[in-house]
Amino acid sequence: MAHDSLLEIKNLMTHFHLHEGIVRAVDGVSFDVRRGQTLGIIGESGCGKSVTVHSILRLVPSPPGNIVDGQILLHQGENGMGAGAIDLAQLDPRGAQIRAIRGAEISMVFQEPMTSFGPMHTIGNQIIETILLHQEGVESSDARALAIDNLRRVGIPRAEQIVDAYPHQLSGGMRQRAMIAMALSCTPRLLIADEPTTALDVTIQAQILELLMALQEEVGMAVIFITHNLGVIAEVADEVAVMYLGRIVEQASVNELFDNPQHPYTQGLLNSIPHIDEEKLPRLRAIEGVVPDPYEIPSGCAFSDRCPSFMPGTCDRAMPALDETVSGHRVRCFLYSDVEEGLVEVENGG
Amino acid sequence: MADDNELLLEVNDLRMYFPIHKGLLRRTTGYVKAVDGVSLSIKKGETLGLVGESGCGKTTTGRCIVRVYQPTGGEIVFHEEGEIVDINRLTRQELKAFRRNMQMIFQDPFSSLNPRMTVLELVGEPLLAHGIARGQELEDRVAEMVRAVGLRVEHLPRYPHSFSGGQRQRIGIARALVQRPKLVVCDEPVSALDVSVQSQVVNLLQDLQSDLDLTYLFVAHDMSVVRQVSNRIAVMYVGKLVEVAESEELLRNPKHPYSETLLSAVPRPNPHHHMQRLNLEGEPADPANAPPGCVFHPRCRYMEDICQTEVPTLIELTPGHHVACHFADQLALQGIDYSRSHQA
Repeated sequence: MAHDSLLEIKNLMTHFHLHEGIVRAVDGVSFDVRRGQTLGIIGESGCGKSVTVHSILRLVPSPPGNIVDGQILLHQGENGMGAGAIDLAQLDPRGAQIRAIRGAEISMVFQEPMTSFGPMHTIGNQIIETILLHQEGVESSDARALAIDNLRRVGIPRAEQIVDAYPHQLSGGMRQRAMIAMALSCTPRLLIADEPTTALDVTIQAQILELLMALQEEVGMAVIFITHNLGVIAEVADEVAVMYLGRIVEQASVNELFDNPQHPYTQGLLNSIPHIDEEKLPRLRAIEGVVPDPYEIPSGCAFSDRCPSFMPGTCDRAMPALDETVSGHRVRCFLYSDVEEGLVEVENGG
Repeated sequence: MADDNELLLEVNDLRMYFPIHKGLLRRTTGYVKAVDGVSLSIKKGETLGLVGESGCGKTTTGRCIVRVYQPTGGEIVFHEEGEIVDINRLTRQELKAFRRNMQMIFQDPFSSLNPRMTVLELVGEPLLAHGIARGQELEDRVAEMVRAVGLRVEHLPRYPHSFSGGQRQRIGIARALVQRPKLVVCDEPVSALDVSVQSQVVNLLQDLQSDLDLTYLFVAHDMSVVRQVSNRIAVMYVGKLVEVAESEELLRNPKHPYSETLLSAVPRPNPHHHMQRLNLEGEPADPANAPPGCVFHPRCRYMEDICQTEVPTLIELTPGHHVACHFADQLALQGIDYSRSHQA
């Protein structure tokens, strides 16, 4: 199963211990990221998609956040056969080991490049710093040339001049390109893109998506792409995980998920958005209700209070397990499987 | 909806220039031409969608119309029961009284509501300010409005922080509509909301429009949402309108190269949809230093010599379809093809 997987997340739980109580931001998430592939994670605000990827890079502020359970295995060898896998969940978030991984093996592109670049240093200096930090034997004079090459590769015109520009001097689209150039400067094996196009205009978004896909092909890296936009996910992802309140509720290949959505939440999301290339509907089919407060998650299935297929006595009694219904298609819903969360290990073992 | 073709609003040659100040003496060194000669009309009961990318001047246009900004030039003519009012010429006093006819719904429900006011105070404030109602009558009207937007009367004594983004947007809508305006400028009313809540608010806005006989100017960047709510769509680029048409006509049959690109850039929630995207090189022009000729020419795939020197005017190509492009009648542009998506 994991022969070509680069990153394996097993039962990750990241909780925040706050005055008001415990927020289970990520509550038992498992997935694989395969080499060279793109995993899309989709969900609304508060579903835990960002906390999941911040956990991978150990960027969750602690306190209050803590990885309370689970493994984040980064496989080392080219064929990834178990040997030499590092469990990122066990590393010291301030230690040398995770710092050597951040930016070199796994790097990240954030939603708002203005806040992720330091405002006091030029774009070039920040890229050069990354290169000098992670690539041994590179002289600072060569690093500047490398930085310019990287800027050119992401389609920045006049790269020799832009390298000396400060972040505020660039437009949003150019800043995001520079961010990508920095993220790719050390040829990472995994790129995490957290809503990288949400702050951009549609025509610029289209440019950045195409750039990311072209670079992925060129570098051969794996990508975890987080977004709330179903259109963007359909375009970039090979595999899609849908998250709701800290859990994956459905996961399948991109074609399977859009052709045959099974979870009522996924179906609701797909039905609720206006589709520009279909006949216009008189009204949108909205999902009822709102995402519940993290302290008032309904018992049983977390989506049960908004679900149009709610089954009293079943859905409010236990949490369904994420079970495989069709090959490669996993759904967390009692409409398709009786298996409850917590029993799945036993069932598989027996 | 808009079967009687009665006009509610006419905007003629609207201009809004923001001065750029430089140096110690704050001398004006130039102007950001945020809105540069926009003319449009809105019929009673219809929704006109105004789309464009950030910085194109769509929000400024909306704000000029309700006169949050004092426009640099142009006319904003409001037809009110036989009377004709040029909003741009009203004095402060007249404007204050006139404001009840036009209201605005804002993008960010987190920053547009005063956190120290309860729902009752927030929604009741416009009634008090205009001397429309007070006391028990005010409370009754607020309660009625709050129910109409899908909140409950129990919510009235609460403060904005205890509501979710979608509920806050409902409060903002109630506040805008409580004095029964005729025209509502909706400035990106759903773009800050979660996907599952967006559709609820879009449906609510459509329901309220028919219940309360509202006319909307719907300003947004998301073509799919704009198409869902609008009878007609106006496309804006760097301070100018480039195309105006009935919404289905604009989608199927765009006549301006920029509209064509915008439509092609909309990400489709369909993994089988692999159209060749028309890639737009570069970035929108700087409205402080707009290129000569057609503002879109540096990015246009069909650019010819004339586009670099002569500004195209917005002409009516076919009835109701206005385009500002020198080659509008010659280009065969690619619109949305409904038939293709159904094969998938």
